[in-house]
Amino acid sequence: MHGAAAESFPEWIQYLFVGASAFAIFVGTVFTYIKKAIPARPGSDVTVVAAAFADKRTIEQLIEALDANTSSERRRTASLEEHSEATRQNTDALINMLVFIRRRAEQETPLRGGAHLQGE
Amino acid sequence: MITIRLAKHWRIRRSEWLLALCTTALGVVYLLSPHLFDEPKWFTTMRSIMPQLWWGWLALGVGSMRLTVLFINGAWRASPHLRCVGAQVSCALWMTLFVSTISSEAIVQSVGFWALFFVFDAFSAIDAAGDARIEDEKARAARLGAESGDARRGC
Repeated sequence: MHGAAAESFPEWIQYLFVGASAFAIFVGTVFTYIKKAIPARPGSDVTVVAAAFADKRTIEQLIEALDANTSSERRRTASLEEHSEATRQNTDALINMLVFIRRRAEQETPLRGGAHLQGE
Repeated sequence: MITIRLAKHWRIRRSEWLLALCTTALGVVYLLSPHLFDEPKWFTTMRSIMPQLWWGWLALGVGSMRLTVLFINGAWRASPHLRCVGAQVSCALWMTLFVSTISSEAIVQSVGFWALFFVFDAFSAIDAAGDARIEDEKARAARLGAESGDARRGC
């Protein structure tokens, strides 16, 4: 050790400094390696990588979830179709009723406001 | 193929090339000037760790390895891993030089260089670790694809 600067930096602190910095870089690289996100862009080979990144079991679970979702969607669609049919029938009934009322009104207009109404 | 990849990566890896060249040059200087560490005022930390000749061979070896790997980068799967290891060793070298310089009798102008070299090589090591992960995932995807293809074909 030489000089004032050297006196303020004992050898063990120098080794510690070098060792700690090397360790920090090592930890940083390992962390980056573990946490590196694979960018997924449609159409690129990286998408394939991202898809294949999931292991076999995860893919099976995904397929099961998709199947369940598809069944649920089918049931919902069937229910919507039924609902739609009921709504259509209701609308038809309403239209029929309106047509009936209109015809009735047309037939009875000449008599409206007179003795005919009172008679009824 | 290698030339095309080199042209593509040159722009984003200029600092890595520079630092690899600096590491190699440092090794050459240490080997060509064998009495550099004899000066008692300087290189105290480095001298206490190992002799100058070893430092010279280490720097030359790591620098050459980094340059070679940068040149063939991408054409060989393990190249990002080696880039990462090379940058880490260089980081240790720059930090030792930095500590050695600030522990010397007088602070010289190169003290800033070693600190900056350390910081930029740290970035290089971290970038290379990310590249290594992507290469590993690509290889894994290819392996899985090959396995599932074999399974479909009934191999």
